[in-house]
Amino acid sequence: MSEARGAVSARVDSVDSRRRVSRGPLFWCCVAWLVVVVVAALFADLLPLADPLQTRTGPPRSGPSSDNLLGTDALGRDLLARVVHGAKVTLGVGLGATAIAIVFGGLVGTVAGYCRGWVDTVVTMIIDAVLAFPSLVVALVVVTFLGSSLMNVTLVLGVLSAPAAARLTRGSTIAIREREFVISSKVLGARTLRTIRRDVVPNILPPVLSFAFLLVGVMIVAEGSLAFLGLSVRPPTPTWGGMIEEGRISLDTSMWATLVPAGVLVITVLALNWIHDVLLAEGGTSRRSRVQVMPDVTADADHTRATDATQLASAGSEPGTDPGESALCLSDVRVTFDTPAGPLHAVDGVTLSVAPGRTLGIVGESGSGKSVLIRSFLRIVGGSAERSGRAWFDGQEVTDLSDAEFTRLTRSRIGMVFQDTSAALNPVRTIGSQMRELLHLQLGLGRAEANERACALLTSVGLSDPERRLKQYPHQLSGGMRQRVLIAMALVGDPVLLLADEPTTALDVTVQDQVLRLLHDVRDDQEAALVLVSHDLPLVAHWADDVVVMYRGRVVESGPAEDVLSHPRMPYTRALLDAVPDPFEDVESLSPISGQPSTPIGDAVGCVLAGRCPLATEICQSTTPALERVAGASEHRFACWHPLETADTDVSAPARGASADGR
Amino acid sequence: MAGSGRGHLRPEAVLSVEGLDVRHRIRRGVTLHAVSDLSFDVARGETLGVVGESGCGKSSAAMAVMQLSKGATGSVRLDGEEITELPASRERLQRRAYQLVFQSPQASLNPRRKIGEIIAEGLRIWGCDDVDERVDSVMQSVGLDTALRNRLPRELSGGQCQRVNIARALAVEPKLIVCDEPVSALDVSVQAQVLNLLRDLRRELDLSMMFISHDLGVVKFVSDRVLVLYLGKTCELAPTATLFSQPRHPYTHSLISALPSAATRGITTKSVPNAEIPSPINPPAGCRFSTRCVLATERCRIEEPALVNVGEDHWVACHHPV
Repeated sequence: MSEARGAVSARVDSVDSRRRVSRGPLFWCCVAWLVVVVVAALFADLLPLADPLQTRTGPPRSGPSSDNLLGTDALGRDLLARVVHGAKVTLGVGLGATAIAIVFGGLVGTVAGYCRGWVDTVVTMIIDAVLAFPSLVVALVVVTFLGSSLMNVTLVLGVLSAPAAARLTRGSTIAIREREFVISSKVLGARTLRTIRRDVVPNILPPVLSFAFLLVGVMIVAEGSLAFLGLSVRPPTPTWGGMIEEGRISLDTSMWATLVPAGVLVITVLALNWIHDVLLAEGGTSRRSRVQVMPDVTADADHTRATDATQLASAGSEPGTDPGESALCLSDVRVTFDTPAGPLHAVDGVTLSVAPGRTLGIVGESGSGKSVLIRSFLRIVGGSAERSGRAWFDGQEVTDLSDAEFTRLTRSRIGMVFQDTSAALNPVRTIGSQMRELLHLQLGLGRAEANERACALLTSVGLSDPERRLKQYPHQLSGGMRQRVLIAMALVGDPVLLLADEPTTALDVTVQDQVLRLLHDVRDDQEAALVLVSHDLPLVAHWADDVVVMYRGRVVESGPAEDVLSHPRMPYTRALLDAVPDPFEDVESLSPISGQPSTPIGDAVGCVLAGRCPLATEICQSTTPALERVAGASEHRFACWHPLETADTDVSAPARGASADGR
Repeated sequence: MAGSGRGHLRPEAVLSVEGLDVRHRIRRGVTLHAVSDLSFDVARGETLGVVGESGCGKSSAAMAVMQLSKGATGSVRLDGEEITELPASRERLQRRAYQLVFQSPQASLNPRRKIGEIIAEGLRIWGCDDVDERVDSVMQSVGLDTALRNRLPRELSGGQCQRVNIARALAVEPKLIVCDEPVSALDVSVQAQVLNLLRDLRRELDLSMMFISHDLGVVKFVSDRVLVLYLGKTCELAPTATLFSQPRHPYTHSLISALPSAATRGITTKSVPNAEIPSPINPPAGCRFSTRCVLATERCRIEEPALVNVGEDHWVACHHPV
């Protein structure tokens, strides 16, 4: 359980840390500096500068003055002119060597990564061998023998950095070659080179480009080092490294001749590195997360924006039972995320309760807010979320408890079972060590006691050979077994509430059946309440006593499962039921719901389903229907202006007719 | 149990798979035998549904048919022509005849290319004329607005992306389409749209399909015949209606009776095996289902049952069919 919490909060943290490196003012300052340096180098001859080779343009070893803006060196040459002209050589070497490294290394790396096999083995061996040499020493030796011309220095540095570039592109290519769209290209019959050119290269380009920025910086420093040793372009042609070396000799009398080239070099390299960091952060995961946050914004722009009046109407519902007797009771819960596209109302005024010994099914499509609702109750939603509403747990109001108090109260009494068992269990620790930790934390048991208890728990969830299981790692168990381990961990403190979020989505029908039966056995043994969050309507219909149907963060229909799923009053619930292909009936064609499930960004006016409902009229667009009880009937509530008739109220009801047609 | 046997293969099939074996090397000395001696075929205009639990070898079989699996042996014939073990250049020329639709709608589209280009890719590779018109017409046939041509995949919803995947496969006019869990990543309402589309396309274009899914309702809806796999072997092969009304293999029986629904509320199914699924790395001897089968006898644990005919086009590999 604590592991599950850890996994979730870790995911949230990683989202936040990604944001820290971004295109702020610093990024643009770096870009501006590089632009200035590059433009100055390109147009050095056209700029109104002194001749960089002419001596005695001012007094030697002087500081900045009106004649020499950055001062002069030991021979009285203008430092500004020399730095600008030096940039030609330094940047020329930096860019040239980087280009050689990226093109040559990139080509080799991509081909090796894509083809694998012996090509890859050979390339990897060469890369490893070359990387094992101290490249600056090799460069030194080579330049000494070949002569220190601009061309030689560039070539040597480029070739020596190629393995690093090859290794990076090889890694990126391997990461992408098994992706479905690359395989698709092969399936279509594309030649290998076409696949590489059209599907691989464009997708590995971002990391390679950001690496290029880093490499330019490295090359500039390397050139500087060579020049410092007198092994780059010969004096008097200025290079930054050469200038630092010349300045060093007269350092005791004037620091300017050293400070100026060194400062320019350091700022340039820092700018390159920062741009690399930003591009790397952007090219990685953030693009994907940005997409997920706002998929259908444009589609919904028309009917968003709302007034307070309609907001209030949607909230009009009190908990069905006395919160004091419920295992879980939520009242008017709202969870809002701040997104670039506007506020995202993940949960928008939800009220529900579940009594001990009962199973509440929460159903809805993706984006309906069903998981966020549970996570917000557990206080494990991300940092940027705004939460409101009241909550009761085991008859006690927990709304105003601090997170620490809430954890203390609920720690051993809420069992959580999530869909992703691999995220909830720590992959590098044995089942036993994770269970013992939990038993120690929650019940204060010692090692031997904890072991005994863990075995008993594993046996109670139907796992054979519990002693062996305790010594195993999560990956050594099947999905069904891992889910049982999680259920066993959920049972540690005799829970009064079991929260199961898509507990069987990754499992097969036979195992699914076992897991749910187990959860219900536990529910009955402990007199606990079970909340089953799922998108699977037949599953919920089979197991739940009460059902809540959610859409766009709101409850649109709720009540006893029998009523809601057998005689739905919301056209949407009916449509959801009809959209599932029934394995027990012959169906000619399915009745899909028009449109897509939309993301609840912005404030919705009217019924959240107005855009997807065939019965929608003017009033559905303009006014939000309240979630109201059926007159005279049980706890069956729905928020609809045009509810379907049921068999009880009208024999020739359109709902029954439509469903008969659909099948 | 074992799907050994060839009696059920039909000579006129579009796709004919015989004695397919797929082995994945996990690490030194450990091999996962994902598919063992599997034989099946798909007739023209027919959809063969393949069901089974995860790890039963459904996807491995699909990848082997698509010639994307390294550890596959056996025969795969397309219109009578052997497509395995061709040299790379010949294999590429055959590619157009069989296409694949993946499970994940978004991941199978290059995020940096426009929808129109993605659909046109196959046509360009094969040097077709009128690429633009053909892209428009195939987009219309899968229910995509042609205005989406210039959009990037991330601007489309999951359902739309899956339509693009289907359009890309259809554009090159293949003889066979293999769909690997094509709707399991979609929401119920959108899933229904895509399922209807696949069914309509099959009717209009006389498509032959191999349709892999773990969802029996979905398989029942799209398939003409269903193949049930367990730990890499065939359990049962039958026309859809027969399989669902009279499952003969105890495993098929338990799959169908484990399906949740409102109608089965409160009913505890007895035939659901309680034991864990054995690891495919070390499958049980004899019938592979024997460890979980309520009807298993000593014979099942020793002798592997052959695939035998038990009715019209109905084949079962079981010593004690239900």
